[in-house]
Amino acid sequence: MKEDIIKIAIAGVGNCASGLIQGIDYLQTYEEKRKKLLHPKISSYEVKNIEIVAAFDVDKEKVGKDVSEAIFAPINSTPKFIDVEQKNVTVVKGPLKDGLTGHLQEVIKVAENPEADVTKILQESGAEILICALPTGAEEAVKAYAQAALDTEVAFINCTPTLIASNPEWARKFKKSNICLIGDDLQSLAGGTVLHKGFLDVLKEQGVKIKDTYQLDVAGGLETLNTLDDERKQYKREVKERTIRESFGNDINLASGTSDYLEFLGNRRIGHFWILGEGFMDMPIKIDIRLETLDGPNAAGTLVDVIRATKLAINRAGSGPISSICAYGFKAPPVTTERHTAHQWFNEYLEGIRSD
Amino acid sequence: MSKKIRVAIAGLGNCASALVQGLEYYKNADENDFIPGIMHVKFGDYHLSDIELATVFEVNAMKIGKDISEAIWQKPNVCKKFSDVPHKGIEVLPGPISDGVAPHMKKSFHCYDESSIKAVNVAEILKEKDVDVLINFLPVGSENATKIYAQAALDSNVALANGIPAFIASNEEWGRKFTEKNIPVAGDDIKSQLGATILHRMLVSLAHDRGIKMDETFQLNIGGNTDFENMKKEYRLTTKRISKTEAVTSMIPYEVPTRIGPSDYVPFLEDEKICYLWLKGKNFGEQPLSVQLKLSVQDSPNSAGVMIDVVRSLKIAQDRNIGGPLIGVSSYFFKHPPKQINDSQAKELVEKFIRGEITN
Repeated sequence: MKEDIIKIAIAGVGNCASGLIQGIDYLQTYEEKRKKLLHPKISSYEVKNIEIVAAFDVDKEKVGKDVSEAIFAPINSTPKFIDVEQKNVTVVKGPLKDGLTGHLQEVIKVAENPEADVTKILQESGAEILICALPTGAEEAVKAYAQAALDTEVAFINCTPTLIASNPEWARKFKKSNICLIGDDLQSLAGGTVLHKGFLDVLKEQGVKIKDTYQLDVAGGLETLNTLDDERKQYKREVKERTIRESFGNDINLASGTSDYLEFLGNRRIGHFWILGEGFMDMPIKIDIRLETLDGPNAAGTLVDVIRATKLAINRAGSGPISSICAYGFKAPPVTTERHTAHQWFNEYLEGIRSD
Repeated sequence: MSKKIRVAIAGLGNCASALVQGLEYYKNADENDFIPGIMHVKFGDYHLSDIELATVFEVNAMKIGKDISEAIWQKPNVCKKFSDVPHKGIEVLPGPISDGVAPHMKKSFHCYDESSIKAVNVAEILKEKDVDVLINFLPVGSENATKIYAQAALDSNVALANGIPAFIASNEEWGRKFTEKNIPVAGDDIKSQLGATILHRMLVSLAHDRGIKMDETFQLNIGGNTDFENMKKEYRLTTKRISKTEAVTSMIPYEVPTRIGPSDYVPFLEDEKICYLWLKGKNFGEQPLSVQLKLSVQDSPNSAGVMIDVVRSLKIAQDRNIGGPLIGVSSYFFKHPPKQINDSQAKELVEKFIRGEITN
C-alpha cells in the first residue's frame, strides 16, 4: 500500500537520526517487536512505514554518502543495533549558518561541497515532513530549515531547543500557510526529564512538599560536547527547569541539566537524581537514583510516535502547532501540561476526539 | 622551642571558617579519649590547642576590618556553624587581590576597591605578627596571588601550607626556593579527610591490587559554595583538574578513560558536597564488574580536619631545622604533592616523621 508511506527528510544526520533510521529497519526486520511499542499503530501507520527521502548535514564524513552509511560515521556514537539497508538517499550539504560553533568546530570538518538548495530537494524528494535534528544552539540554521519547510509546504518537527513551535511569530506563519509545526526540544522516551517529572508528580499527588531536587547527567555524545559551552548549557537548563517550575512553582530548590561531557561514555547518558521532600509531620523523604540510558534510541523512541502523529495531522489538514503532539513529545511545547494529561491529549488526538 | 604555633591565613572562606571553629571546638580535647572527627589530638609535641591564630588576609570588603570571629560568618561563607567563636582581637586585613578574584566572582566575593583600600605588605605583617605558618586558602585558579603569598613566606621565613592547586611545593623552581632558604613547605591542594580523592584513590588501588582491569572511571563533584561557583569557568580549573586527576590516575599503571573534576554548581547545596564515583572493569574470565558510590559531606570541615595536621607538621619541621618540600606529609595530606605515594605508605611516612625517624 503505497499511500501508507510517510516520507521524511532529516536535517542533521547525528545520533538521533541514527536511532531513527535504525529503528525503522529494526521494526521492519523484527516485526514482532512492534508489540512492545507504546503505539504499534498510529491510525494505519506502523514505524516501518516511515521512509527517509532526503538528508542534510555539513560533516565531510557524512555528505555524499548514502544515509544508511552516514549514520555510522565514527563521530556518531549510537551503537549499531542492526545492519541498515542502502536507502539510495545521499546526504547533501545543508546550510551551515551557526550550526557548528565552539567545541564542535574542533571535531567536525565541514564538507567542501556547495550548499544545496534545501527547498528544491524537499520538493524533488516529495518529503512530507522535515525533521530538524541539528545541534543545540544552531539558532540560525534551525530557522533556515524552518523557512524552507514553510516555502515548500512541508510539515516541520523541531527536535532542537531553538524556539520555533513555541515562538508565536513562527507559529503564526505556519498556521497561515496551513502547515503543521511540531516542537520544541525533543524529549527522550524514558530519559531524565520524563522520569524526574514523573517522580515529582507522584510525590506531589501524595501530598509531599518538594524542597530540594536535582537531576544532573553526564554523557558522551556530541550533543553533550556541544552543550558544554556556557551559554548553550544555560539555555538548555532554562528550558528543562522551566517545565518543572511550571508545575512546582518557584519555591523549590531545583537544578536540572547536563553537567559534563565524558567522551568515553559514547552514546550512554548517566543521570543522578536527588529529591528531598517533606511528608506527614514534615517527615523527610529522600530519593536517590541513578539512571543509565542511550541517547540515540531514547530520542528515536519518541520521534517514531511524533512522526506518525504528524502525518495524521497532515491528513487532517492541520495547521500551525498541534498542541497535543507537542506536549507529548517535547520539553518546550507551546502549551505545557502534566505528563498524564499530555498522554491523554495525544491519545485523544489520535482517536480524533481532540482537534489539536 | 615555642610551644604555640602562630598561624596566618590567606583567604577567610569556608575552609578557614571550619578551621577557626575547629580550634575552638577541640581546644579541650583529651588526647587519651577517642575524639570524633580528628586524626591526631596530639601531633608530635603539639596539641590542637597549641595552634594560635595570628593574622588573616582577605579581599572581601565585608570581612576586612572585622574581627576574625565575626568575619567567618560573613556571606558568601556558608560553612555550617558547629562552634561559637569568641572575640579574637584579630582584625581581617586587606590582602593583595592579583588574580584571586575571577571576573564572574567579583560580586559574590564583595571584592574591595583598590582605589580606596590598599593591600597590606604581607611579608611585613608576617614578621610583625611573629607568624610560624602561613595557610593558603585562596580560590582555585589564583595562580599569581598564590605566588605573591609564597614569596612573602620566603621573605619572612614563614612555613607555607598550600591548600590550593596552584603548584608551589610540587613545582621544582618554587620547591628549590624553599629548600635554599631552609623553610618548610607542604602542598599542593589539600586532600580532604574523607573526600572524593582519597575514596577514589582507595577504590582504584584496591581494584588494581585485586587484579581488576579497569575500563573506565569517573568522579563527579557538585556543590553549592563559592569554591564550586568559582570553578564554573573552565579556565580557572586547569590546575585543579590536573591535581584531582593525577591523584587518582597515579594509582593505576596503565591508561584508563577517566574524567574527574568539579562538575556542577548547585547553589542550594551550600557547603554540602556530593560526589558520584563510578568504576567499570573486568575480573576473572573478563567478566564485567562495576562500582557506584555516592559521597555526601560538608565540604569545608573536611579540609580543615587535615589542615590542623599539616600546620603541626610544618612546625615540627621548623623545630628540627628541616626545610623545603615535605615529601611524606605532602603526599598524605595533599592531592598534588611533589611525589605521589599511596595513602597507606604515606601515612606510615607521616607517623615516622612525627616520631623523628625520618627528616622528610
